[in-house]
Amino acid sequence: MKNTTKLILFILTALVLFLPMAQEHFKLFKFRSLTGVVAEAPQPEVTFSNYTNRSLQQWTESHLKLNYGLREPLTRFYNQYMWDFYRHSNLLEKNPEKDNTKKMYMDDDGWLVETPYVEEYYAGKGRWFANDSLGMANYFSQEAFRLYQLQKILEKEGTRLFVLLLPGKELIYPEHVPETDDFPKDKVFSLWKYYGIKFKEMGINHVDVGQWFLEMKDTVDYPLFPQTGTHWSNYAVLHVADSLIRYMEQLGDIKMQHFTIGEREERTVNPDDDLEQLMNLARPLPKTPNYYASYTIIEDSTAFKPMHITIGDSYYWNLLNATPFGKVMERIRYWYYYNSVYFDFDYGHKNIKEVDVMKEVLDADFVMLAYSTAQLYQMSQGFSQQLLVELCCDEEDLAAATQELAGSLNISDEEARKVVMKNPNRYIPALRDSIPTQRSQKFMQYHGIQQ
Amino acid sequence: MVFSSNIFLLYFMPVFFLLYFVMPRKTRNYVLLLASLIFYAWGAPEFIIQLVASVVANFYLVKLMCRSNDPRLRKWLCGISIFIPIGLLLFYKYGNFTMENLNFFRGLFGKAPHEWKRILLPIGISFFSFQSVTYTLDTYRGVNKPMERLTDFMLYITMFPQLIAGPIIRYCDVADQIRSRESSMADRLQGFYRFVIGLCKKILIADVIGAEVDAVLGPSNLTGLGAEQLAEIFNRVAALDSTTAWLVALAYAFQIYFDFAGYSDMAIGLGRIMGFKFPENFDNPYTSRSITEFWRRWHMTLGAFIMNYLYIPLGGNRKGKGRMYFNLWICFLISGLWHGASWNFVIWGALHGLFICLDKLFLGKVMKKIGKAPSVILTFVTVVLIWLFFRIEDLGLTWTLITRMFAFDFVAPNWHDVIQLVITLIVAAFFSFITLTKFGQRLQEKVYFTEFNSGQHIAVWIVSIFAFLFCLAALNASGFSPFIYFRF
Repeated sequence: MKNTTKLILFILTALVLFLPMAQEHFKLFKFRSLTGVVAEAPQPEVTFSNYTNRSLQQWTESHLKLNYGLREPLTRFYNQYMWDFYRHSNLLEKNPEKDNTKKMYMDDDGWLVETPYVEEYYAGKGRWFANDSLGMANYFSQEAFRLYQLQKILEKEGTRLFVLLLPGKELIYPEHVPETDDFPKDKVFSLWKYYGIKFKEMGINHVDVGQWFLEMKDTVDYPLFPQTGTHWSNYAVLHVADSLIRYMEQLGDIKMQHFTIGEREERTVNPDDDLEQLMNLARPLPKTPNYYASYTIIEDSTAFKPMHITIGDSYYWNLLNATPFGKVMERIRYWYYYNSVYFDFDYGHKNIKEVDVMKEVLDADFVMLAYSTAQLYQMSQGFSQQLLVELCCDEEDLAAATQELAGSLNISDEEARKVVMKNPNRYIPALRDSIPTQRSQKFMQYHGIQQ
Repeated sequence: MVFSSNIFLLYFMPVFFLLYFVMPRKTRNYVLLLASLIFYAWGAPEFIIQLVASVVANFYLVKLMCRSNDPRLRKWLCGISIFIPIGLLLFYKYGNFTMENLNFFRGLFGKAPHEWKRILLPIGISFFSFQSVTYTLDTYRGVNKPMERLTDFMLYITMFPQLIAGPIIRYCDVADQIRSRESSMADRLQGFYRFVIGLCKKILIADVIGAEVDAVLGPSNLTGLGAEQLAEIFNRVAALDSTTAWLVALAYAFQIYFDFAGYSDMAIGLGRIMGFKFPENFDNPYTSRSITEFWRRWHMTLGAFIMNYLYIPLGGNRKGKGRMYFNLWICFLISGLWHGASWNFVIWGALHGLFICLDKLFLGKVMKKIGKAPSVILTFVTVVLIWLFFRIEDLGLTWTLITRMFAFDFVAPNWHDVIQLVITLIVAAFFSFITLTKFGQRLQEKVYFTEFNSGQHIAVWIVSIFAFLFCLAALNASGFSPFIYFRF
């Protein structure tokens, strides 16, 4: 009897030892997958030289680390242990061996804030120009100037351009930004404030969602930003969607479809807990409930369904997924960080470089630039420069400006072209007017005009 | 391959044991030998042929030696047989060190340094070289007969549980087990429990502490770091408050103990699963009341090797007190140099040698008089301080750390930052010192050396499986870290 117990335990030990291997290859159990992306190095060729230089062994070890069977439940269990005992999470800790592992901060009340927003709160991107107010003014006012030029040019073409100045969590809930010495505390300049004032001055179409949120922060029933998420909450974005539709109606002098909000539910689901998801814990964190509601689009055969392009950061996903915003459009395009292209189903474009930007913009009814506070420093990300050049300049204009700059700075044409494209208004005379009148051949061709 | 790697835990170990136990008894040694060669070849592909060649050469040299009736020829063959592993050890381990020092002296005389290509150190060479020497000498002395079969001898040298970092097993202790051994179900289970204990020591204690030590002191091998990185480490250490400096010093003392003792537990456990009874390597060294006692409890198989194959042949204590002190010093200097080819290891060995001599002169008596607790604390603090020479290659940096420890500017740490380190240190200290109590001694006896009944087996098995999976999770949640003793 005693030996039977030992034999059973021995067999069970063998089974447990083989379990990860079996799970890795045969997926015996289905586990909740881990959130986040880990870039795995490509497998080296199985050659003798890769074996002797150990690259094969190193790859095998790192591959197993990321793919061993039972990884999901064991990682969640271990993360939960680290959290419960030490309040540690890989995403909260700085790893001296790997830079950039710190993805977020947590305050004493359990609010998670992503690193760029904490940095924005303490330092702000404007610190680059803290000692050079002229440089700062030039850098960001040029962007505003280009947006103004584009707004005016596109208006005549029936395309409305407008900007959404989106708040970050740090703007609406500064009380939840934890104390840290990780960033210089030298914020002297808020780009959100700067653009707000500048756009007003210049008459650039914009919606200051940050200001609006600040005004309603103390009166709303649910948080405008979820406790364990990085983007605006589901509750907030439903309000935004409704207001945005009304704003577009006003801007385009059109009538669009509206929606009604139905039964509400209190819970927290993705993406309102997107930061928490990245912690890959076994149990959910305690948090204040969030708001979810069903909606119904009010059918209206007389309503206009516009074609809409968004250029911006990841805030747009919530607007699209949690509200009917995309559904009241005829067609949407999402140029994520002016790099990846989404919803371009007709053509299957993946990258903005594959897209005929000018044609797409001229075809659209609305172009919306939507950037949150921590991303405002890279507003439009080259879109305004590229579109302005495509609308108003020909290759000859660009080549002349490039050659002139290359000659005066003694740099290569390639380098000079990059400089010109960063700030075309400065180097191409035709773009210096407040509303450029010159149009490119490409623009003419779009309209079927032969020169 | 190391025991705390995924490839070992997830593939090598289960597959090996499956094959080992399903194969007929007669063929198990071949399975073990083949697995051991694969184990070594995976981690040190460029040295496997050399390892096999040196083992084959030694086997036949010793065989020849035993067949010869000519004492002079026997002596010569014995010398050659020792020279092969020791020569390889000297070449690989001390080649770089010799050239660095040679160039240092050339520099003093204004001569240009010699160019040389840095020599890579085959892992485990310090251990299997010594085992080879014990075989030759024990056979030469007639302690045991030579191995009949080359494969048996090869298995003795290359057996994977102890190939890389010991314990250093004397040939006479294991010869019979290689030929014939039994492994009961209890052995297999308790071997597994012992392996898991070692894994926990390594992954849950040593690695956690080690990460904090490395964050302050940088890597243990400073060669290859740029001037900027070195300056950063120096500045960081120079700016430490005394609390952190002591935490780092204590942390390293526990890191090296749990790292090495963990490895030994794993080796002993793996051996036991197959029916081998490997000698113990540690006996609660931090409960020692003197440095002499510390060396009876720390890396016991190395101590036994040095005693049997160096101290006694040098004359031991048979040739007067002066010669005894000299012999002790030599033994510890060599022990220091055995651990690593750089001056910090020499100083580490010399300091231990010094304290052993002082123990014999007067310190041992003083320690006995002052009572158990003070002597344990004083010995432990001495060991902690001497470990710093072991850990830090640069003597200037060691001195800086020691001055920070005794600067007496203690400040309360930021608990959130050090909470895991402090809790792990408390756990490490608990297990390091618990055998000072009767309860601790009973606990150790129960866990390590008592046969369990069925109920106890079930309870310990559940804990072991949970601990094994937890270690697997911890290993993959944090960075990969090989054992410290691998580089020796």
